[in-house]
Amino acid sequence: MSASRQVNAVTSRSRLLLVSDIVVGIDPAMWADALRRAGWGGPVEAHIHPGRQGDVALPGGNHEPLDPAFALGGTDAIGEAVVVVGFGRSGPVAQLAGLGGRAAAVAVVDGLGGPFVEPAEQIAATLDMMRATMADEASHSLPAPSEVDRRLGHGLTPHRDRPTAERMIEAMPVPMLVVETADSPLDASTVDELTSSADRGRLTVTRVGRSTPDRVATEVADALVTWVSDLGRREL
Amino acid sequence: MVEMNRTQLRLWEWGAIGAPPILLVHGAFDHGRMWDGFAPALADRGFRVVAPDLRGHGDSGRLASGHVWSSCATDLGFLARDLGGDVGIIGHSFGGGQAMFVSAAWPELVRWVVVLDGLGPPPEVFDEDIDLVEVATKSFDALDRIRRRPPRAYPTRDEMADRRAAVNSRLPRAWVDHLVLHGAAAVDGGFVWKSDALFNVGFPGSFGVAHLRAEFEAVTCPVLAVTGAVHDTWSELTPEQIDERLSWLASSTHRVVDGAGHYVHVEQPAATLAAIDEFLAGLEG
Repeated sequence: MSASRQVNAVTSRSRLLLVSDIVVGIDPAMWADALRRAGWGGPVEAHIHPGRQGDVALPGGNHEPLDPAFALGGTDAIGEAVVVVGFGRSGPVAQLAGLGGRAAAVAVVDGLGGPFVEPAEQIAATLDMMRATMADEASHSLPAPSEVDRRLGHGLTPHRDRPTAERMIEAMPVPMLVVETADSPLDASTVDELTSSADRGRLTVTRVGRSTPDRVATEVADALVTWVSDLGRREL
Repeated sequence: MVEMNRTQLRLWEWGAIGAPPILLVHGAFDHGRMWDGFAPALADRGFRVVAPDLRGHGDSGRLASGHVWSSCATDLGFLARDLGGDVGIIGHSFGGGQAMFVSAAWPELVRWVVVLDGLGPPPEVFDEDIDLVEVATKSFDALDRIRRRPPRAYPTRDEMADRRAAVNSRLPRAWVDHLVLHGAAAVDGGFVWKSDALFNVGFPGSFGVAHLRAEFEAVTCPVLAVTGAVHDTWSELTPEQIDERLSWLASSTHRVVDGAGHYVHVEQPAATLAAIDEFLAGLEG
């Protein structure tokens, strides 16, 4: 198993980096507001995967689930002083940042991967995505800046391999918060099983109820701020 | 250059337009000029032969990610469609895996596949006990190097050839020089590899032997696998492992070429062509 890494100081001034789900996207203004209302006074940044919110060109033209890890790697957006928060399909991106020494702590919101499938189903899904891309003539060229990229609807998934999800949790060397909402692809018992072997000194699991998006954001922001604040107190 | 699947692909062509098409797919870090010795012989047999530089290689479009397996295969699917379908695909190494994946995605476009030492890495590469911290750290370190430093410039192409020859020691020097000539770009201070450095970066994921098997089992067209008899860099499968992987295919033929290692079509082109001739004759029979 992986060697432990020194937990870096997390303070009330730590930077939070929100990494959007590559398909669904996030509203950074809504999240910044929710975090402020939850009492967060530190800086908040957001990485928005191109194609959903139209403001960034898409290099290479295609989407891969770990694109945000490639986009953030080699930049100052991530680093040992940053708390990286991965939403949905970008949960594994946040986990990789933690595993790879590019985060002081990580949080995943419905971001442990899944729903888990057998390898043959995973390969079949990839082949289906490729066929959908070729069949969708309107997606063959890049979208206009104001358009949602049609390729995001062709079936992109995060890792869907349960052993990989388990290993990533178990190997995590920095504090990790798992936030599960009603939109999670995993049921509660699966999350419990996945996290059962993790170091409970590092791992925190929180669930928020079914509600409106604004209300969910408030509850998730409360959970994030409470967790980060607690980490800060532990470091002090 | 053609615009395709949101990228640019450099294509190299031999033979007559309208002749039955063959796609030639090079391996990792190579390019379409890899086929300069092999493609004319196929064209002489009455085929239209098209060899792209895969995205991230040669003169083709650059990458945003090192995870390009499905993107490259989709590019090839677009090419196969634009060639009118009913294509044969010959792929070397990484390109062999790509050839089979394209045939799995679009069996209606691919008539047959020849895989030149491209049955995938050895099982130990998929070791589930890898240190995720180490692998993720190395991947981010690699992105740091790529983004924060200029690419390494070699003073001369000869030095690049020396480096390549040290890795692929069985490749004839003339071929190493040829691959470097077309695989290097001039910059201030010397030359850099044309292949996109991002291609070499991969984050730990969920791909394992079971996934490789599922890919192979999705292939329905006839496959000829050609391997060299000589152990070589990137030819690490044992005969038993090769047999096992071929058993995952619906229809496969295997030919072992004496006196060849990983670059079987470069080291023994006549024997490789003979194996392909026999395979194609069998399909027609």
